[in-house]
Formats: sequence, C-alpha cells, structure tokens
Amino acid sequence: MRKFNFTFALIALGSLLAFSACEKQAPELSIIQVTLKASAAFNGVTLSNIPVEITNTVDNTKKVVLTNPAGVAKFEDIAPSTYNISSSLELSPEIAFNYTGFNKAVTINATLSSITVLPLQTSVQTLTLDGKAGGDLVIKEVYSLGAANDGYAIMFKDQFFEIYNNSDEVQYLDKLYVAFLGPTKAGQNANDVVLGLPLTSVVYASKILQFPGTGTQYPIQPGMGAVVAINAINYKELKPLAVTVDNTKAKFDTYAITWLQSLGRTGSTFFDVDNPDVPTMNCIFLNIQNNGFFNMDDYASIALVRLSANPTETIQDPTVTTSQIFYTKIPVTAIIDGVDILAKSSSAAFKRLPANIDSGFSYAQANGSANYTGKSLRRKISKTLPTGRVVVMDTNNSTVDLEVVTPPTPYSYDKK
Amino acid sequence: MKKRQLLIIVISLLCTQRSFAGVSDSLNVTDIIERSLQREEYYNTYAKLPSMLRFWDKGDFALISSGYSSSKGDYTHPQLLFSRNLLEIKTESVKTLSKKGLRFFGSVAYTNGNASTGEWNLSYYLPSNGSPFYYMVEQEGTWKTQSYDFNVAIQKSLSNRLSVGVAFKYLGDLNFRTFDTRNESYTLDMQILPSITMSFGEKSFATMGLFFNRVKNESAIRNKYQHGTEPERYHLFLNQGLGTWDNSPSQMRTIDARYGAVASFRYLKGSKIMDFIYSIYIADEDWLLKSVSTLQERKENIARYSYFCQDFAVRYRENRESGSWISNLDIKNILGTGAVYKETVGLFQDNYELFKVKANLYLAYLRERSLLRRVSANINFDNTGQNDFNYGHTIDYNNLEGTLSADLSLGSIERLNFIIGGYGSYKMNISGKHNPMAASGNFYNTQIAMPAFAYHTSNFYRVGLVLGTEFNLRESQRVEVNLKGDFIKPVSISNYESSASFTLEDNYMNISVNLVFNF
Repeated sequence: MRKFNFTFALIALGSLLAFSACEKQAPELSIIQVTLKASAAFNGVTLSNIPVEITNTVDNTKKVVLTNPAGVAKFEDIAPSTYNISSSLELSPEIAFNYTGFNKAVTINATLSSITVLPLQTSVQTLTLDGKAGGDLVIKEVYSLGAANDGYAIMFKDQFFEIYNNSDEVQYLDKLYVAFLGPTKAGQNANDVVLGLPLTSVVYASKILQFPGTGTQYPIQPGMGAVVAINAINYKELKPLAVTVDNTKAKFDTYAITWLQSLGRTGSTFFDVDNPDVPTMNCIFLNIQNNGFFNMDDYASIALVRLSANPTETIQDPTVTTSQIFYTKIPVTAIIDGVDILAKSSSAAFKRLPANIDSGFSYAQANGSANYTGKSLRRKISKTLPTGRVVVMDTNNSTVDLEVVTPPTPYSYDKK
Repeated sequence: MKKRQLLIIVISLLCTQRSFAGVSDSLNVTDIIERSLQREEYYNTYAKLPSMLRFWDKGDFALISSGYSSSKGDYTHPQLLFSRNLLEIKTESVKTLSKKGLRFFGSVAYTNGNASTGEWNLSYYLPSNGSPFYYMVEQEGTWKTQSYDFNVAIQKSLSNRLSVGVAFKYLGDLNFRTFDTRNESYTLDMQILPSITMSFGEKSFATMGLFFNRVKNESAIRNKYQHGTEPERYHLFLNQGLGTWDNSPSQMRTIDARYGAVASFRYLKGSKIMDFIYSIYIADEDWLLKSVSTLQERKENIARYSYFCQDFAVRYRENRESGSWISNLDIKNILGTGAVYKETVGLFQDNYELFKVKANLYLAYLRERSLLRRVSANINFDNTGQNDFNYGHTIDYNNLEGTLSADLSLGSIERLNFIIGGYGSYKMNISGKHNPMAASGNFYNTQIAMPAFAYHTSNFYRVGLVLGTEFNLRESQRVEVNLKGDFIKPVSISNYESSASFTLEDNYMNISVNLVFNF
C-alpha cells in the first residue's frame, strides 16, 4: 500500500501540473485623447486644468481627467465602447464681459456624443467650448413620464412643466411660445430611427403652445415659477396612493378640443379636460390630425421660445413612410431656454436641440423605460441668496443642470 | 413537458417493480456505509463507462428512497442560495440477467421544493460550465423548483473478450420565480453514451466510448406585468463577462451541445483494482433569439460560449479480509471562451475567457465488523481564473479544503444497526487576485464581482454529523433512515470585507433526512 500511495500521489501531482498551464489573453483596452479648444467668440480663454468627462453609454460609468497646459486630456485604459465626451467652463462676470459684452457669468460647454472607440484604438477628439449667457426665464421642471401606482386611472394626464424666473427682475410670460420637440423617438427601442435633419439653425416642433396675454398680463416675479399643466386637476385627491401631483395650482392649463373643432378636427375628451378656473394656453400647432391633445412625449425635449409671430414653416418627417408627419421649424436663435430629455444614457443620437442650447441631454433612468414611474426632471439649485431666492443651475447642459426627483415638485423653488 | 416526464416516472417505477419482484441480493451488501459506497462506485466509474458494467461486482440492488433537505444561511455565494427546501423521491437499481449476458442500471428521481436566491440572479443557478452568460436582475428571488431525472444503462456481453453498453440521461429542470412577473426557466439535459470494452487477458481491460450531451434552456424573462401601462418593475441584464453585459436582452433559448469521448483502462492485481478514466469534450453554448425579424436581418445566434473540458480520474480499490482501501483522484479542467456577436462588424468577438482546474483526492479505509467502521481523508483544490478582455478585468483564486471523517458502527448488522459519523474540514484560500482595471466603476464590479470575490477567498470551517440506522423489515427488505447535518462558519475574510454579503457572525447550515427502502 505504501508503494501504491507514493505512485498515486505522483500521478495526482503530475496530472494537476499537466492541467494547470494557462496564460491569459492581454486586455483590449483603448485610449481617448481630447484636445480642448474655444470657439472664435471665446478665443483666448485659459484651457488648462479644465475637467473633461467621458461617459461610457453602455455601462454608464464616468471618468474625469483635467486638461494639461496644452489643453489636452488623456483617458488611458478605458474599455472599448461608445462614449459621450463633455467639458464645461464657467466664466466669471468680469471675464465673460471680455467675450460677451455683458457683465454676467456665462458657462461655455462642448459635447461629443456617441463616439465609438474600438479595441486597442487611440481615439483623438477635439472639443470646442462655446455658449451664450444664461437666460432669465428657464425651464425648471419637466414631468412627462406619468403617474406610478395609479391603477391606470391617471396614466400621463398629470403631466406639467414649470417656467422659472432665474433673474432678479420681473419677467413676463405673455405671448411666449413653448415648443414640444420632435420626433417622438428618443432612443428607447432598438428599432428607433434617428430623424436625421440638421439641428444647426432650426429645431422641429411637433406641438406648439403660446402663453396668453397682451404683454404684461402674466408677470413672473424673481425666484418664482409658473406651472403649465396638461390638465389642472388634483390627481393626488383622485388617487391618494399614486405617485402623482396636484395640478390645481397650475398657472395655466392646456385644452385643444375647441381649437381642433374650429379647424374641423376632433380632440380627445378622455385625456383633455379644461379647468375653467385656470387660464388656458393658446393652441398654435399640433401635428396629429385627430384625437390629439397637448401631452408631452414620455421623454420630452421642450423649448421656451420668443417669436414676433406664429411660426408656420413645416417639414415632413423623412423617417416615416407609412403616413405624413409634419414638424414646424423653430429658429434656434429664438429659443430662450431648452432642455433635451431622452430615453436613456445611450440615446445621444436622438438629441433634439443643438449644443449651444443644450450641450448635453438628460434622462430619468440610465437604462430607459422610465414611463409611469412618477419621476420628474428638475433643474438643480446653484445657490440660495440671503433673500431666499433660489438661483438654479443654467450651464446650458442638461446633463449637469437637471436631476431626477420623485414625486414631481411643482413650485418647489418658489421664494417664500 | 410535465405530463411526458410524469409518464416516464410512472413507467420506470412499474419497470422497477416488475424487474425486481424476484429475489434480490441488495442485502448481500453489509450495511449503510457499504451500500452508499456501492452507489458511489456506480456513479464514479460505471456511469461513465456502461460497457464496464460487465465487471460490476457489487451485486444487484434496488431501492426506493424519499428525503427532505433544507439549507439556510447568509454565508453563501451572494448570487446563489440563501435557503432551499427540497423533497426528493428516487428509485434506483441494478439488475443482471446472467444467462443473456445483460446487465441494467436504472434510476428515476423527482425533486420539488422552493428556494431563495441572492441579487443579480435570474437564472436560479449560475452556469456550471463556466459560461459568463446568464440573466441578471438586481432583486433577490424566491423560487419554486422541480426536477425530473431519468437515467438508464444497458450492458451486453458479446463474447468473453468483448462487451458493449449504452447509457441514456434525461433531466428536466424547471424553475419559476414566485413573485414579480413570474420569470421561468426550463432546462432539458439529454445524453447518450455508447461504449465498448475489450479484455486483454484476465487482468487488463480497455474501454472506449463516445458521448453527445445536449442541454437546452428555454427562459421566459419579463420585467413588467403584461398590461398596457404597467411600468417596468426592474431592469433585465444578460451578463456577458466581468462587466460586459446587455441591458435589454431579448427572449432567447440556449443550446449547449457537447461532443465527447471517454477512454479507460482497468488493471487487476490480486485483490487490487485500478481504473484510469479520461474523458474529453468540446462544446458550444449558443444563445439564440426566439424570434428573428427578417426585415432587420438580425442574426439568430447572438452569443456563444465555446469550451473544452477534460476529466481525469483514477480509482483504486484493495480488498483484504480485515478491510478495504479506497482511493479516488478526480481532476477536471475547463477552458472556455465567450464571444458576443457584433452587428456592426458582422462577427463574433471574443470578450471572455475562463480557466478552471478542480481536483479532489479521497482516501478511505474501511474495517469489516469493527466499531470504527471507516476513516477517510479528502482534499479539494480549486483554481479559477476569469478574464474580460473588454475591461481588462481579471479574477483569479486558488482554494484548498481538507476534510477528515470517521464513522462508527454500533449495534448488529443482522438486526438493528446504528451508524454515527462525523467530519470536520477547513477551507483555506491559498491566493486571490482581483484587478477590475477599466471595470472599476461598473456595477458588475462593485455589486457582483467584489462580493463574490470576498466569498471565494474567505476561509471557513465545516463540521458535520451523520446518524443512520437500519433494520430488516422482512427477510429481503431492509430499511435505512439517515439524518445528516453540517454547519459552515467563516473564520476570515481576506478581501473586500466591506463589500461582502456576509460577516464573520454568519453561517450556513444543511440538514437532510432520508428514508431508504432496499429490496
């Protein structure tokens, strides 16, 4: 037995060694090298020591590297994937004055979206910082995703958006337009097709509303908001256990049925309810022939617009061949503020606003599918002044400026 | 599927009853320990080589057993079983028809139970073949589980020198999540293994066999109730590596096709028997879309895990008047590569590799008609290495577990016999290296890899107790009752203590009771 045990042990050891040889394959990591530049308008700003951020749109991990004195940020040992790249630089009022002529702080941004980086590749990219002075009126919150736990009684009838006066002067909403931007496709589904129209001088509205008034009828005080509800109804009372909102405090609501009937079209009595105690927004454009109303898309990009007359130029959706869908063109120069809200972190290709309005985009859930969750996208607080007035973030980059809140928070920043 | 499997069980039970209604020599085997060795011997050697059943020297046997097992505790792999309760009914037999040169083996088992699993597991099990592909969801799961296991082997002696055999396996494994959106997982595991054995004189025997094993899984994965406005309850993922995953997987089925060969050599010398068994197979586990749109021209096969597996075993038996020596060595090696189909380039791209060696050395000495019936020692070695090329994420660890056990035989083998056994083991981590590289911020690393690495590289001790009794019901019927329990407690956490899903205060316990009717 002793002899056998020795033989047996030798067999065991020899077998184990024979089975143990293994060498790992080398990792297939990549490099992104980003060179930061400034647009002609901001030529001369210091580009050293500025954070550049990359976001892997597949796993949503982020990495930040500071630029070197030459304005270059190098990201080493990153996974081959698709990346969004962004950078942002806040200029103080004194510095901004040299470039804009206004003694007002400005944030300049740059974003590159959906940059594909292959294994073992060094991807060389250039970011050009640009921007304009932040607006006095901003879109403070967009609640478009619909109620949760509502037993199908509310769905998305409780949508609202809120305009906020971020300045220290009274602003007027009269005659301003709100454009819901198309297309509906926001990158949720694998089959979604990008619109493919240029976003340089115009954006494309599927629905347009206008604030009523003659010029000074609807003032909005500094640090105060104005909620526009699709339906000014108290949904909390209707479904106390649902994640929803009381819209009866809305300053405005929407109602399309009368307007549609005047055009020989029909509305939706199920989704569209008028509250006679709340001023109704003027209906300007609705690209659905019948049964339409002024709901926002689940993932809603919207813009606040100042125009002297109703926009009328339209363009047909080139991606839809089974029917005719039209959008109204809105000049980018007329946009006071805009936020791009898409389905998920990998939806950059579906952006509906150009980079000088919103250099990034936002989403409620990185993996999408956030409809009927009661989630809302709200602008973050930049600072609260001693007077109690909240100044919200307005860097023209909704990736940075917006946060996700549940439940929605209408008038949450209003000065008490 | 259920009806078909139930039918198979009923037919098999009837066959068993008919086949073994005559005189059985089940009781020629002396006691519980000898009987358990008899069954182990079949699975260790003869299940892999059906034509070798010609040399089955343990006699015919037949049994019907039913048992209940329960396990619970927090010291477990963070994705796997935090508790499980199983009821099993099983029948198993070997029957010889000497005049016709035939020998049969058959077994049928049915299990039913429930379980709770950890986070990031939507597949109930993690892949045993080393595949990186499995469904994940963050929420922990509670499950209903059932399995139907049917095995049969037939051996025929063609001449004094030649014997042929074939073995079939049919295993149905059904797992259902019992809340949320009722995700389901059906696995069908079928195998055929023909072999031929040739004698070279009185002392040497060589066997060659081929086998084909097909494991098919059909899962139904859902993250929302099937109503119009219901929100998604959670996000679904298909894991593809160590940080590589797909966060919107389609409905898929998996087919793991294994093609293999087995060779063995038996050598006899006096009362000594030595078997060398080597098996090898190559396999492809394909992940196939259940529905493919011709408009999208999407490939049906979207992921593949190709692997190579080799298994080497040595069995040694030496029977003496005073007792017998048993030595088993098992070494298993898997080398696998995971690849994902990239539609943009129209190719499968490798993104994952696995290397695994598991070794087990068992030594036992059995004394006949002695109070100290058996003493044994066991050493387990596990070397695992994983690599995700996309992230440069690597995990490597080596573990060793040593066990000592002893069984006492009390009472009378002829009448009422008692077995009291105990064992103790210590598992130690020899080495562990984890480098997440580019996946350091990936949730797979922080929520799955780190807690799992903490578990794999922790040290623990295990103590167990076995109590058994046996008695004759009639002259040709013997009943066994076995009660087993063990207790596992971690003693140190070498890595990521703050990320671990357990603390040193936790433990894990297994308990089982089994009633066996031998006839």
